[in-house]
Amino acid sequence: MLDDISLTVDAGEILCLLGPSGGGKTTLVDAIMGVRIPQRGTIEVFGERAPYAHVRRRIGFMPQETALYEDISAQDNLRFFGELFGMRGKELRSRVDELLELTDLQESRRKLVRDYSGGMKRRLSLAVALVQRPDLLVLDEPTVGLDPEQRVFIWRHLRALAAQGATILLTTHVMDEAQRCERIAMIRNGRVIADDSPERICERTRTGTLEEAFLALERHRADAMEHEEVRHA
Amino acid sequence: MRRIRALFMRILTQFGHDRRTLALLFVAPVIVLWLLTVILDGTAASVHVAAVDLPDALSAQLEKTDAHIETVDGERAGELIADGDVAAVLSMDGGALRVELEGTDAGKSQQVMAAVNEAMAGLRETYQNDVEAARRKAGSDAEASMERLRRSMASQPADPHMVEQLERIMASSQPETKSMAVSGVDVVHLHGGEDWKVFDYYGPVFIGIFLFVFTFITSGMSLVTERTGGTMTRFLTTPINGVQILAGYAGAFGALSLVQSSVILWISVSFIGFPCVGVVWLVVLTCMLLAMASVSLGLLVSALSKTPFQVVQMMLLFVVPQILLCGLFDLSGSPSWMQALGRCMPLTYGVDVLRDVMLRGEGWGGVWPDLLTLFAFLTVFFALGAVGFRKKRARVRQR
Repeated sequence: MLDDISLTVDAGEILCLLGPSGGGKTTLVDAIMGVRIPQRGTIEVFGERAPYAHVRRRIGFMPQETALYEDISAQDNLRFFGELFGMRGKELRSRVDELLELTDLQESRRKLVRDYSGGMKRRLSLAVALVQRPDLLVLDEPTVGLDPEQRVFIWRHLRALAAQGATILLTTHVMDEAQRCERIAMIRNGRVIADDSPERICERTRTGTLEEAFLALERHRADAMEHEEVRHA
Repeated sequence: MRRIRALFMRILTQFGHDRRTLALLFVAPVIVLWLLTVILDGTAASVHVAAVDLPDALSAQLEKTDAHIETVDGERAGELIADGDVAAVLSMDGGALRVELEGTDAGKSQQVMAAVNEAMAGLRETYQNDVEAARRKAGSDAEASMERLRRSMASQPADPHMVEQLERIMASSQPETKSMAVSGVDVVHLHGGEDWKVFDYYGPVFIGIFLFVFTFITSGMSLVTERTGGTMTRFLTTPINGVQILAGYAGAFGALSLVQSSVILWISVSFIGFPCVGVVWLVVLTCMLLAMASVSLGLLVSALSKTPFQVVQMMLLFVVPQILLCGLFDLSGSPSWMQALGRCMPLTYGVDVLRDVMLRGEGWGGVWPDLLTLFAFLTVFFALGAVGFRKKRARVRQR
């Protein structure tokens, strides 16, 4: 699925993995999260190889699916994941309160998640990813299917977290979503075809939007491959 | 430990919010157990038999049996048996009783034959009693005339030789007083009693089966739901490991089965009327071990299924054979390999212990080897499940 990807992300940076569905983004994210072990190659986070024995606590994850327990309340979901990260007592209680406040779910904290709207679930999912105060936050398609208001909400929080020094890695297949990041890695068929800021990518491909840039890069690559084949013949 | 506890609490909270499953766990087994008692007791009493022109003595004996006798003419009897309204038609064929069985339901045929045999035995007994009484009467008549003869001879001198001869004749005409080799049956119950019903023998088996099946389904499904809902991925990105996940699950479902089996036992013993001769805590302990073996099997098997539907399919493969071989049916007449296969299944041991304790009143000393075997099954399933988990974590997920 993935082929020769080499990416390094620094603290406080927001890196966006951009590419069409089925391009290998989720595979890459799963590998980074240590849920999937690559057949070759290595992944290191904070100097430790996946699957992590010690740094797991420092990595927060928001999967593509909402991935919440629908038949318990929002605060029980937060508590449960907090406890799995070894939090307890007062520390856990105040963190749960803080996150519910942050994601504006304070009033429906006792509601069962199955009664939540899609946007509320997304916000809770983000809160769960943040429960152990991770230094690296990995988000798989965090804003898919959200209305503009919710999207702005999530982005504002991600920026704030990055400003506090957290490293953020997110995937998206929506081009103008990626425009908000300072760095984009374009992924196509398991390969990184561009790794730069949105402006520089557009500049280099002499296009106005990321969409056009993506298509231009795609054409370029196809041409190059054809060229290669002709040469071999 | 804290992680196991967190998982334990979460699963129980989930169940607390899921009324349908709770109803399934508590109400459904009780209703089914009650229905089974009614059904199994009902069939024991009511086999219908048509009687055509039977001798009065036989009819009287048949009336004493459990069978329900309808006296009809030959034509009507033919209709009844053709429609399946009676299990047999009894008629006279010369001097012999002719029993015409409907024959599709072997159980009913057996009941008919049991009733016929009982009636015939009764008939024989009354006949023998009559014969005995007649002989005794004949004997005492002969005695009386002999006495008269002796007296008349005493009054006048007679030939002693003749008296001796008379005595000899009398002795040979004495009725034989030899009786049958076995004259009656005394029934003594080692366990149970006459008031025990057919279902009582199966009650413990059904309790075991219920616990096993329900825990298998619910635990297997909740793990599969966790996988399809994406929470498993999120789960695996936390510091929890496979053993802790399994322990949390087994613990939570074990606790649930503790409550479930206590409730089922309480209702079935005090309201449905199950016998429970042994100590209750041993029964509950067995139920819990059985349920935990079922959870670990469910978790192990759920690794093979991608949807809840497949869990049900897996149940057909992993649980139904256990139900068939656990002792619900008597296997003593089946091939030895099949009995050996039954001995390889946890449910068999659980059911054995439940029967020993509930029906025969066995204590810890009599059942610990079986309980230990059950625990060994639990451990093996658990270990296999943990290994499977580690592999699952490492393997590349198929899209």
